[in-house]
Amino acid sequence: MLSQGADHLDAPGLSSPANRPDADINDVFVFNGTDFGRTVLAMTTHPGVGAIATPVYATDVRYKLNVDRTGDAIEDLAYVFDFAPLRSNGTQTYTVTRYTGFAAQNPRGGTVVARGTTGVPATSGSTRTFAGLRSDPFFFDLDAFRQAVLGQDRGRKGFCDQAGGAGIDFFGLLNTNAVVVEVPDGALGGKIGVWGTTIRRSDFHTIDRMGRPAINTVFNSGEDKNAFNAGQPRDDRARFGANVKSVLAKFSALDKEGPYTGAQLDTLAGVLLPDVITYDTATQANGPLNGRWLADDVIDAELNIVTGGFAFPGRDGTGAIGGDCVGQHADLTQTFPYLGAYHR
Amino acid sequence: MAVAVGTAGVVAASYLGWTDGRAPRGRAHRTGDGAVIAALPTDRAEVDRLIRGFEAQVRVAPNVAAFDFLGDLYLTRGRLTGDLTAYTQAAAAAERALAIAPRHEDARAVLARTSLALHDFSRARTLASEIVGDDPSRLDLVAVGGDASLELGDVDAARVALEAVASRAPGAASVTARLARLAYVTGDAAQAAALAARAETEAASTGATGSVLSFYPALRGSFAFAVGRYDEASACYERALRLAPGDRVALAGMARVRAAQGRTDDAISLYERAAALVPEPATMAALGDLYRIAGRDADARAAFATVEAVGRLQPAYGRAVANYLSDHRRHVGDAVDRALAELRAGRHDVFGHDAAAWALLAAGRVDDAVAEARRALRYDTPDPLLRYHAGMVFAAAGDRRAATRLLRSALALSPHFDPVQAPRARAELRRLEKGEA
Repeated sequence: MLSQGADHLDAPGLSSPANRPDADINDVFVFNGTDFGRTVLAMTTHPGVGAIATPVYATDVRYKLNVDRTGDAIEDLAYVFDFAPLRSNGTQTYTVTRYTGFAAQNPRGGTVVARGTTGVPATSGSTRTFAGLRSDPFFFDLDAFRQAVLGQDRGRKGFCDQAGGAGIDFFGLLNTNAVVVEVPDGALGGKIGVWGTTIRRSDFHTIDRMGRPAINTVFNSGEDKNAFNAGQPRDDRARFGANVKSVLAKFSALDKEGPYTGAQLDTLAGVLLPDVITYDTATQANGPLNGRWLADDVIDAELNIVTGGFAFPGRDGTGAIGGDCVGQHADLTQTFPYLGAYHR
Repeated sequence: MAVAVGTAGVVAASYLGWTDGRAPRGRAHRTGDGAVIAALPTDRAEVDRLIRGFEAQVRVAPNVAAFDFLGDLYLTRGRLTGDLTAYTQAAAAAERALAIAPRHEDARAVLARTSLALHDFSRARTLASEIVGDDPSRLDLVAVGGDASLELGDVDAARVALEAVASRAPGAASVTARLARLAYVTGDAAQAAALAARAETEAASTGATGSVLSFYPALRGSFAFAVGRYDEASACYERALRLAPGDRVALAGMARVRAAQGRTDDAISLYERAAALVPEPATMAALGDLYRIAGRDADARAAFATVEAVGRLQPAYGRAVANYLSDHRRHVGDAVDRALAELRAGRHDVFGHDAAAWALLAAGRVDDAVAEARRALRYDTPDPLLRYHAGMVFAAAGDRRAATRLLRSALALSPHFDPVQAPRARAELRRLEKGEA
């Protein structure tokens, strides 16, 4: 079965979490809007939309963008998209509700800050929103990754092994569903941590969770993948730190410099977890450590770190995977909602 | 009916890659106000677009990920269209992946699912069991093995496999639907109906829409029809067709209901819609029968010619063609060959023995037919066509008591189970009852 984007179809057996492709998160992005002083939060869902999943948002699932403003990896602000059933014209209406404080963790009450219809960008006061089908902005050589990192025989020589040193972008043709919200920086705060979740409407149980790309895919295996999806970022270091260090040690050993030291592993695990995208809203996004713009090659940076490329004193990181030799898609836009129009 | 429910089972097998989540979706979507919409990019168009794109990619840069995805896309196209050549393409994509990476699991999984769709059940079971041996977490392949076992007539192995999947994936509609079919084959129509109803609820509650969801009411329709509940079956198929107007299984099912209700013109137009999507032999044979009843002999001849032509091209339709030939007493030697070939290939399910019994009777080999009919009856499957065939076999063998009991039971289950065969059952029963008096 295909694995889609950075976090696509990542439960054991590569099935969607809880067999719900409509609750399966592909990617999360955080970046500055084109207009000054504005920040964009985006979450893509529905892997293989149109072929594997119907491009319909679930009505028993809430699509949640979580923001931590205090650095404790606990959300104290959230924007939640809730969808009405599909209408006969093929659209769904939705609301975006803003929750603050404890209500961000337990999203009851809240303030509806926007209403919209799928497929059409909407503006409500200072808030812009979008929900619906777009071109998938994720770019990655999935096939080479599966050989070089997951250890599957794919008949590849590694990354960048195609004619002219190119890679193969698996995602260039794919579409995705996306929820996007753009607000003034002041609505968020300065230094923030962001992650996406899909939660059950009935009891707020977390179905899928994601911050940076491929964290769950690369570092966890078996039942830990499900546990990670259902977990909370604040617990990530305690529960999954050992997994991260073990994988980092294994892959960095392939580097000619040998594996990271114990202290280096601790440092890196502390950066990679909790699985939250950190961002300073006063700056331009520049993944992986400061936001994630649609064109940021965050997964290449992660691959480099995983394979021993992080330059500690006395370690230059040569010999690690430098990248996958595929780049950003050409259909990104400079205007809201920034993701390209869907392929057809 | 033997053919109808059998087809639904095979379609189910290829359909639900297995988890509802992973199963591809149909082209129509249920809406809040109950209407059907077409404004979203249809799955069919999207699947075709992706197939074109990835075919172009592998011409330039052949790679396993693309061949895997192509395999899945072709399987989806096969499910959406009923076009069996799509499965051949899926197998070819998987073989390309295996040429690059010989033990590659996902490609072997595509081959297992393709074998199932093309009725090579022994191979499907072998492939599925090898993959599960390498990777016990592949519940989807455990389910494929269960499907193959059921089609091979090994109901015990099917039950073990399906219950194992059910216990590890509780509430999965596609597994519940398979257990429903198992219950039906092994003689429990009430349990089959209850499980199918549960499966529909499970599927709807996990967000299934379109032709994935429509599969479930269509399955319920086939069970309701088999036990003569025509109004209930009609409501089920209506629900299915609201979800997916192009669901050919539901179209053919609804056609069968309309024929049973005496609404021949409606039945013809429904079969015609199903046949326009894909001229499956069982559909074309039923359509030809109705044309003949309506006095449209030229149309009937064309429909029957299609059955034979398609049957020659596609070995997967062997059983359906054998039943057609036996019904029409045409090329009965060929019918026997086709039916026995399936048994020789290891397919010992009750409908296989039923087809063999019916063909052997048509060919005048009554003793052999009796032996096969006994095997077909071994689970007392509540299928009127199967019981009717057996009744006719026992009548020919002079076992009036068994014949009478079986024909009565077929007509009691479903008085109008087939517009041509049910009147024959009634006539034979009258003849037997007169003889008794």
